[in-house]
Amino acid sequence: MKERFRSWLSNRYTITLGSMALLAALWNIYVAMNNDGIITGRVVDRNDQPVSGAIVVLSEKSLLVTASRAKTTTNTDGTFRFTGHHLYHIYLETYKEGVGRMPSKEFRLYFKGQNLFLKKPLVLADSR
Amino acid sequence: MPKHPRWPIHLILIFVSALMLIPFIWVLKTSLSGENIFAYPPSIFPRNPHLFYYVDVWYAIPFFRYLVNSVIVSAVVVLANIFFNSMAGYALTRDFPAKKTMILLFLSCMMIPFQVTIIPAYLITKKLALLNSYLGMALPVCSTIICIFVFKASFEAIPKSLIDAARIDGLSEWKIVWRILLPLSKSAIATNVILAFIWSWNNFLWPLIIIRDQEMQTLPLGLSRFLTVVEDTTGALYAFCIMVLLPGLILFLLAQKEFIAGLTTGAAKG
Amino acid sequence: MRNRHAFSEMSPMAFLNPDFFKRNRTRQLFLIWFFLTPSLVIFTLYRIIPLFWNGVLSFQFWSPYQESQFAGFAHYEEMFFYDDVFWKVLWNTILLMASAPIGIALALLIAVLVNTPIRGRNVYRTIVFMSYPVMTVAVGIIWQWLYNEKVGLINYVLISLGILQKGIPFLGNFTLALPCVILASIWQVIGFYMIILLGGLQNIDPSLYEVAAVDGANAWNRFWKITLPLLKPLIFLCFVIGIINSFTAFDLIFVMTQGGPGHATDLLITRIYNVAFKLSKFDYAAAMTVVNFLFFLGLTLLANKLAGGEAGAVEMER
Repeated sequence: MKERFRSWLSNRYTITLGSMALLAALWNIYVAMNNDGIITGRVVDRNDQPVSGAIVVLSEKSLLVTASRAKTTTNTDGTFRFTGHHLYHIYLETYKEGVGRMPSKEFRLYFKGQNLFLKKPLVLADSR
Repeated sequence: MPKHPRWPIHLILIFVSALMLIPFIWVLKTSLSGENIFAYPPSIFPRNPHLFYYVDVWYAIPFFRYLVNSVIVSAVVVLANIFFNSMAGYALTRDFPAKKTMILLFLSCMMIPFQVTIIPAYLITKKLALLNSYLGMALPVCSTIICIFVFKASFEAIPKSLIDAARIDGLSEWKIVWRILLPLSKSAIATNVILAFIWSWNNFLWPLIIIRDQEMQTLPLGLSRFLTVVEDTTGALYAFCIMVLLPGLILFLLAQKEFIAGLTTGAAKG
Repeated sequence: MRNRHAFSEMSPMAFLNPDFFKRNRTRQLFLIWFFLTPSLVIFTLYRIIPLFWNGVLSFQFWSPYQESQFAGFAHYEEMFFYDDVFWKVLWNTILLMASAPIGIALALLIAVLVNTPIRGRNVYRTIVFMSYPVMTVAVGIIWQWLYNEKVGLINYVLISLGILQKGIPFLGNFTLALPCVILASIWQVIGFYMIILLGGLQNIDPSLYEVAAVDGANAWNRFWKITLPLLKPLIFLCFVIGIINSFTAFDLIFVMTQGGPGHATDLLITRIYNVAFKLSKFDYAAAMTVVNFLFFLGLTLLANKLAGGEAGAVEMER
């Protein structure tokens, strides 16, 4: 009985399909743990000073069009936070009157609603 | 036999293999980094490989839905094929009055290629109200003559004494087929499964004719629809190609021997 | 009184009783027909009836919205005398079929090479065959893009080799489009031919070669006099498959060129599809289908004859 079980287990179909199923399961678990849809980041100006009150716009890029989805303002320490997004291909744009703007920067995620914690701050360049 | 030098053969074969493989490698490369759509000159290795085109494909098109449709239709076709073909193959091994006519009938059906039946088949499917349905897609290919003859040959190869012994023991015909003949015809079943699967998985023309809903489309249809929508402006198209190629390739690589045996038998029996 | 009930109690002598056969015979017959029925139903419904319905339809004026009227040979007349597109697509189909021998010859060469006892032959065999189980739609997309005027690989290679100054739009060129599609089709099917021919090669008795070598025949003679004649049925089988393949090049054409430019890559089957399902002229398309079928039948019988009888017809649906 053990012989049959072992030969069935080492059958190449079982190995391939089994490992594929295992990978799919692991990936789904990872996705489920990380898809709260949080985006956090910081906005700074050219001198690396945090900018508060800057408006950050989150846009979604579908295959054909780009549409803005959410807006938020930075806190006093220049950080901002979005929650609950269900996107996977986004643009972030930020500007503040009198300080500058940063044109749309593209970010691509691996699954919808992936949490994104930006390491590098968004830099406001001088507006002309 | 004089021994030929081996390396020219290797050289030619390597060249041929490269020719056969280049399209695959190229599409794989483009799916990993969309550069060959716009960048020039093209290069062998992807410059900035990323997997995001696959993410695009997964979300932007109902890939999973198409996959499920294809799987369901193929599963129905394969199962129906095994049942119907083995039954018909067994019936053809027995002697009965109209046997010669039946065999002639089947052989002549083989001369009718699928393409000449599409218009009336469409009208018939419409009359049966099976448009846009799994059953409608599966029905025309639920039985194929090559496979019937494959089963017939395989059943005839089983010693008659075995069948007679079973009959004396009181087994009904059903049980004879099920318990004795089929387990001994594993290669015929494998041939059947592979041929039926490949034909229904890659079938493009028939679903194109009878499926109008986007929800019910199979993978080939979805791929061609995607092509018309995006032309070649995005690497997602090629990622889609790769995702569509993979099941067929994996199945082929896993089942190579059965595959090749199945096709040669299928062709030889013709 | 003969015991007719329990099988296991019957003696083998019972088979000598004619009544035994009679009573079981009807049951057996019933079962046999029951077994045959599902396949029969499918073939009748989807092969036999459509064949005749096509024929009938081709002699009628019919549309989904109105009653049918007898049309006589009107459709055929229109097709043969007034429809230039028909003749063009017929010619294209013939060209595609005529290219089958090229593919077969190449496949034979590869099969012969793979058949030699070299290391890794199975790897080569797998690689060459890999293109066949792949979905034709994907093949069409890949090749269409290889032929691309601006970024296609083929243009790039030709330009860097200095053969061209700038890229040609292969699939948009009236004369080049069909050969390009044919090339893609050969790429896909060459693996299949090779497998069949390889099987045939491996079935040839090696002692035949040894005897011939002893008799002084060189390799070339051995090939011509021994290999080719023995492979003749298989070669014609490949040819028949090639013919059928030309009818199934629908997938490739639909994806690569949609029959364009003009009707340069339109085949009979793509034309039938367009006329029937885009223009809704079912009756005219039925007439074309009849011509298609007769053409196919004629070619297959011809190939059968040339192969010496039993090469048979192979049904490959894709």
